[in-house]
Amino acid sequence: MASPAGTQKHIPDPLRPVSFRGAEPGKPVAKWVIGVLFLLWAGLTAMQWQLFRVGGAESVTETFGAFALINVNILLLLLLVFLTMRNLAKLVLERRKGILGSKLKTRLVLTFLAVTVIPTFTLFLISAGFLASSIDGWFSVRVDQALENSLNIARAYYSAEEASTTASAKLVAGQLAALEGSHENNLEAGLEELLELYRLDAISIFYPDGSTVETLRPSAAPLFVDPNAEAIKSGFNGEDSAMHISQPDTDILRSIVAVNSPDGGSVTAVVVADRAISISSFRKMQEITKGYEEYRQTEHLRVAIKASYIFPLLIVALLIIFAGTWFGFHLSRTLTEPIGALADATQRIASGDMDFQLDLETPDELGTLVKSFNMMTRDLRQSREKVEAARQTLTEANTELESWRIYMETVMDKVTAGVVGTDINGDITTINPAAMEMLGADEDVRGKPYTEVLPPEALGVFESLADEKRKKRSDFIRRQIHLTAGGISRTVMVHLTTLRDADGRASGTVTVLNDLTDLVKAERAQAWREVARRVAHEIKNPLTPIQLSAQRVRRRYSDLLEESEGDALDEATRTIIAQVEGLKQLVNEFSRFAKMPESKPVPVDLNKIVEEVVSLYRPAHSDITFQLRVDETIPTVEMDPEQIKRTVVNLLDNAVSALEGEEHGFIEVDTQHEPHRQMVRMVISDNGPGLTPKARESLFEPYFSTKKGGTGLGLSIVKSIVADHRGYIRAVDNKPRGTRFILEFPLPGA
Amino acid sequence: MRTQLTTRIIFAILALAFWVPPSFADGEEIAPRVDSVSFKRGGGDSLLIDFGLQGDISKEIVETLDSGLSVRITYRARVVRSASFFLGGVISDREFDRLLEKDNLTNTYRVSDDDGGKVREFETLAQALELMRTVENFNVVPLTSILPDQNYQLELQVKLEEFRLPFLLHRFLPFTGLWDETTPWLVLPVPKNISQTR
Repeated sequence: MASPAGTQKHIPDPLRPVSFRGAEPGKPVAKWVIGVLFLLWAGLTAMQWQLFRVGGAESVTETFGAFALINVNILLLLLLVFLTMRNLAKLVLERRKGILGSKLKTRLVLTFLAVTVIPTFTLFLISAGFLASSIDGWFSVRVDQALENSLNIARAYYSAEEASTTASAKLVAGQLAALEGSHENNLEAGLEELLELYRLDAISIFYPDGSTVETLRPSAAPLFVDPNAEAIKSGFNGEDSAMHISQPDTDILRSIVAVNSPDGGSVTAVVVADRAISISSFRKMQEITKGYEEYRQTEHLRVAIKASYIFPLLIVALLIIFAGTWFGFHLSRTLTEPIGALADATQRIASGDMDFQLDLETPDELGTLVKSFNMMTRDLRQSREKVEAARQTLTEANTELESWRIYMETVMDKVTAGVVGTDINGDITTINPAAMEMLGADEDVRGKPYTEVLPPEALGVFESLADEKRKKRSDFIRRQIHLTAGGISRTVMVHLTTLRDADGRASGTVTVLNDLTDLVKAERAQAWREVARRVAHEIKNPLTPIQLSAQRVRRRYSDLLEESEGDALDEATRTIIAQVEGLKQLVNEFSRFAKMPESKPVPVDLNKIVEEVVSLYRPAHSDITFQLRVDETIPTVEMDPEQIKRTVVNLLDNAVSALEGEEHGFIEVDTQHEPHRQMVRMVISDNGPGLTPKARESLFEPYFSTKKGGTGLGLSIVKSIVADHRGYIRAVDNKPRGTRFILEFPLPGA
Repeated sequence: MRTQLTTRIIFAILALAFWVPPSFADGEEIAPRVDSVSFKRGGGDSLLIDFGLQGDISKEIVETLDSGLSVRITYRARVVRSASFFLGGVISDREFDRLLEKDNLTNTYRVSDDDGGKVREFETLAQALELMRTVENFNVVPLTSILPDQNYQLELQVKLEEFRLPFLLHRFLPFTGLWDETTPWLVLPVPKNISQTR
């Protein structure tokens, strides 16, 4: 069922319909009001037209009604003018604002205005002119003259009849004396003769004594009316008069004349002569008079009559114009509103709101257009939903990939192995921090050729590996190499793998660098421990018998030998004993190295341990400046305090030894807390001569020492203790001079 | 805001629709006025007055009478006691009409009073108008109502009744030859000794 424009169907989302006029509340009401006003106005105009046409008497009710009718009509007309002008003003505003459809609406309204105004006003002007000329034609000179002449003829006829009656009356009056003499006993008979003679219908004689004589025709008897006493009295006063007496069936002309005495000194009688006028003649005279009067009245009201005809004509013309204008508005609205709604809907779709449908079902092309539009909206919405779903899937995949990438980056960042990816051109695509450290790269080298990044001494090794891989026609090769970069030598296991795409074409190379330095060192230390354990075991056992034997030899034979020989023996045995003692100490060192006690970590204050150790060294080495800088934020650390003390002592011993013979010796001990890495750091620096690269390489290996008389086990023990505490120690150059030992210990939970 | 503007416009239209324009009168005429007033005692102790009407009445009267329409003149007299506060006020307010008609058939003019008095016929309009301009023995108040120690004023006014078109068209249609002539009130003191004179 077709729903009228202006209604809005509420159906559940997402299909939210948008009707054409739902967004303009009150507009239908205004339309109804205007319609009712229009019909009211038309009806009242018709009534007014009828009243003007009929004319009528001027009663209070009619006058008031007509007055109210005209004013209400004017009011309604003005209201219609106002509303139409308001619509026109709105149209102008819409056009200025560039609202869609306003131009089409303007064109339609103007067209309808032109179509209605031009012919209607032309017709109105022609009709008004025709009416005016027709009404003017009523009052032409000829008509005026004809009426005037007719009236004059009527007047003349009447005057003649009146004069004739008066003359007859006077003749009767003149003959009255003679008549009284000749018909002394029968005056009436004489009067009857005069009645016939002068064509009168009645003769009455009034005497001063009150007596009267009347004579009348038998046919006039019913018409006779007694003369007016006032008139008779005037007649006795010598005043003649004439009057007209109107009767239902006839009219009578009456003349009253006085009869004077022969000497003329007094009135002896009054003669009243009546003459009946033909009813038809008198009526015609009256009609002529009435016609003349009406003509004059009409002439007097000429303008009003013109207005009374032209005014309704004007109202009808305006009615047609307003109807045409209104129809133009209506038609333009029926066209532009759907177009505007379509445009609005298009804009909403363009802005992404596709959850609505236009609500218009008409059998015309607009309905088809709206259906197509709704279908298009549905298709678009479904497509959008699919795209949205795909996008969601892609987003999720992308998020997963991103998470995976972040995870891989984290792994790559945290993994101790170095990973370097290169493309088919040899440009680095991926490199992790461990690889950058191993290769001595200080900056992001992604995108650079690997030949520029690798240290010169390693470049040859890598190229030889690549050549070997090519020669073997293998995608994988592994080789342990010795890599020196950034002044640090490392033992690295290199895994070189060719990457291939799905088609089997080489797309790059991934190189994995495993730093085996610590492992090698640990293996070496373990080997040394084994050596030390065996040496200690093998050497320690015979030392005591040797020492005891030497002591026994000295005791038994020193007194038996001569002084010089005895001295030699004594010296020899002493040397043996001393060397054995030395060997014992050496064996004990070996034993300690081989059998490091198991650490027993307890919560300790690292700063306190460091302060205690440094306080022991300050007084003993007054020529060296000790500077202690502790980080008060360092939390309690799980450590074996004795082993940590030994570590600090060893490192300070080394520093003090390195500063022997140096002026302005300076040792600095720092403790630092790095919360973000969850670790504490201890740095011991000196401004001694520093380490050579070779010395730095073997620094923590057993039996390597740069000190005269050093066992070479101190730093090995230090490293072992640090390793037992899951820590890390390294030695770097101190700027500008000397060596810097950096010890890092993880905090609990790290 | 828009509603207020619309209301104002509709109100203005209403005011315009119910506005009645004033009547039009063409030509420059001498305004009619009451003149020549004289007081006299009448029989039965009534205060009678005679007065005349001066100035042009209206030239359209001729056309009106020729059209068979009548012309009515109303004569009005009020006696007002001149006193302060509530003691003052109108003690008498009387009026009568005089009707002038033309018989176009006999070409005569008839003047009649509305009190059923005699009808007087005249051959000419001038004679008829002379009678219309003259009022004699207009009984305005009983002399018993006139107290000797009080001041009274006589107020006189003559009104030539408005010629009306049907449906009050003369109210808003121009050029229809209208008149609505009313003399200003003529105020005269009533002679104090009028009630004592015999």
